[in-house]
Amino acid sequence: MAVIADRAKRYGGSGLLYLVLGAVSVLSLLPFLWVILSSLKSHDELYSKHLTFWPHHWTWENYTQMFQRMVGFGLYYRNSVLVSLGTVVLTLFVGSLAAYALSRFRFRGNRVLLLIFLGTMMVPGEVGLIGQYELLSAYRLLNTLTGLTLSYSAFSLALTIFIMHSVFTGVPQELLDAARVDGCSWWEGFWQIMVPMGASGLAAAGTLVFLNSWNEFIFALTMNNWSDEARTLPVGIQLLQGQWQHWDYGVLFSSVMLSFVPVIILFLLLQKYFMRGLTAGAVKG
Amino acid sequence: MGLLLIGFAAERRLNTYDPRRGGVTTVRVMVDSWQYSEFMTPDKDLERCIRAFEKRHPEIKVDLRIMAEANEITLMLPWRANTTPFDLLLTTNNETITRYAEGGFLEPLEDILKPELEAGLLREFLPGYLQNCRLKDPQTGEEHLYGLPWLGEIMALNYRRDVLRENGYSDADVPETYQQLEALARKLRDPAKKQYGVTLDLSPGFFSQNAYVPVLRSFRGSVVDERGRLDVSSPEAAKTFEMLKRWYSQGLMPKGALTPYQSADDFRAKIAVFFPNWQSRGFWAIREMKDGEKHIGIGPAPGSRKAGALVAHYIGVIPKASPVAREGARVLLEAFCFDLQPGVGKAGKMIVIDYPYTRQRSGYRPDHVSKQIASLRALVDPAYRLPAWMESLRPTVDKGYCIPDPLTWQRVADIVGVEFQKYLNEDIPATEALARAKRQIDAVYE
Repeated sequence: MAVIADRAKRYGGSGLLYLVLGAVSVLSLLPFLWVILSSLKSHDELYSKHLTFWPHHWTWENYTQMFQRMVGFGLYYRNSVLVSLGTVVLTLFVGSLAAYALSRFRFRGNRVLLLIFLGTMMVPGEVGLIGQYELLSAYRLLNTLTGLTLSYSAFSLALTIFIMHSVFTGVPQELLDAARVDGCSWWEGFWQIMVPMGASGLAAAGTLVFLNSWNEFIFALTMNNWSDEARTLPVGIQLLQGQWQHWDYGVLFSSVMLSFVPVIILFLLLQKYFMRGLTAGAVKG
Repeated sequence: MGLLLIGFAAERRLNTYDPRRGGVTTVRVMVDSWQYSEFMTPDKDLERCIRAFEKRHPEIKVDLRIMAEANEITLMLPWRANTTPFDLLLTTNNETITRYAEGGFLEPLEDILKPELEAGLLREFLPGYLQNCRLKDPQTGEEHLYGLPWLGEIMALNYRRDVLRENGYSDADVPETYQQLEALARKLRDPAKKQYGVTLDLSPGFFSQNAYVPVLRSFRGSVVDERGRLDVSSPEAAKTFEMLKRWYSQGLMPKGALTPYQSADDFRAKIAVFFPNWQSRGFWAIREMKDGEKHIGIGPAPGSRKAGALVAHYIGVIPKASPVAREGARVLLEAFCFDLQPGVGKAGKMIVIDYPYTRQRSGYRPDHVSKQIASLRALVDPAYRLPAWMESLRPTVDKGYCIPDPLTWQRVADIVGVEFQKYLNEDIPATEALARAKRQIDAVYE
């Protein structure tokens, strides 16, 4: 009897846990599902007074219209990819070097510098919007992909330093010491020891930086709004908005659907490293 | 890093603007994304007019750039440094133009378009849409023409023709006053069928412009007090508040009326039968439905035949810092104010020049005009015919009016919108709610 009660307690407990997790998953997935299904509904169905979940008539009409209406869709997509990848490369390079220095070298103000970097994460990025605008304007970097990449990199740096600092702190000092004894320079130690050891952290930081850059709207709108050639996808989607915020919901949903794709692919590819990287350094012995 | 540096250098080269190169002058034209997409179907008229202009003037190239909506205001940053990324803005409206003129950022058009203006160019436009094009120079105090309209909007009565038919009514029964509208809306109300007689945008941000002002004007014939401020103290102002509250609290309107833009979706979804709002709202519904005209009708807003309708318009302006102001003004005049007008009509917007309206009237005989004006009129597609709904709205444009005092409008409109929201939930006389609004409006001016 005691065994049955124990089992019931154990399975009942995990059942409840699964129930809660299931409910949370449904709540998280429902908006995505809604967008996917709505992108395949006809105009009349989307605007019907009777709400439907599954489309009565499946149609690609919204996708066709989206490509017709967003003239520069391909260009905006390419720009988003370039800016996001550029930001990831630049941020990981600079951020991991900074994290390496902060975690391995003892110098005056080391701790304060780290706290300052981390402190910038607490300040909303929009606070720096006007300042960055003026800076980019002074260097004639407005309406350029380079300018936007630099801007995003500056804001992503603190997060990268934070993650990589935790990861690098977890790498045993003995490994670096051994490498030094074998004749490795600090620079070589970084590339040959720290980078391979911190690969999962780099993947996690890279994924987060990519996500932030891919989805970013307000900076892209402010810095690059005057040039069609330097526009990114989130601003491109905003162009689908009609006068007085009149949206064609079907077209909007289809554009949002297509903007998901690279993010989902990236996450699926790096999921394992992402999870490992995020938890690296969280538990220290 | 190397790639970034290469990208940086290449983009700097691309960003260099040389307005006159190889005998060709480049005019940089800014349109809002919605303006561009409104002309995509059926004929890509906006693009066509620009290419036709370039063909007529091989020495001018038009560089059309599409912007996200409502970002034009950021241009004031470069304008302050006496530079501009655009030579012609099509995004300015009757409200924003006053802000730019007040800042001294706009180029007066009198010298640039002297021959056309002397030939009577302004008589070609509907006077309702010329409002706010002439404004005072902040330095000298003299009035100047700072822009020309190219696209109009008008407050109309959008209605569900299909619901009227289903209930035994026809277009002849469409109400002409708000009292008639209320009476018919009561008869058409059927909550069991999720059907309401009327909807308006009562949300705080839009209440003043889309509900309060049009109703007040129909009751009183004016929307300003003796000091030129939005009237919130007349008996008609109280009557307006009371009527709109009654409609909402008695369920003549769906609850969505309080949510911004929801009223447009409720109308589109057949939840509301009458929807006094911009004619574009009705036209979009027509365009997005199969056999749209069988379902949707557009007519003059209640009371507007007598008191005129609220109008809004988009005005082409030339920034003072533009190095090619004259060429920019030519593009505006030829391509947008004349050649594009049939396209404006096809896009469901109001045509701003008189010629397409008058030439369609029975017994029309061409009047004698100067060579300049005749050549401009010749740009208007002779085959184009106005839709019946646009003709029906024309008389209400002639008496049309704009929102009062654009420089303070946003703050004043918000005050009245918020006070109405409070009034909906309070058991107080309308005069008391309006008195609160008046105190705040007076503070704005002080």
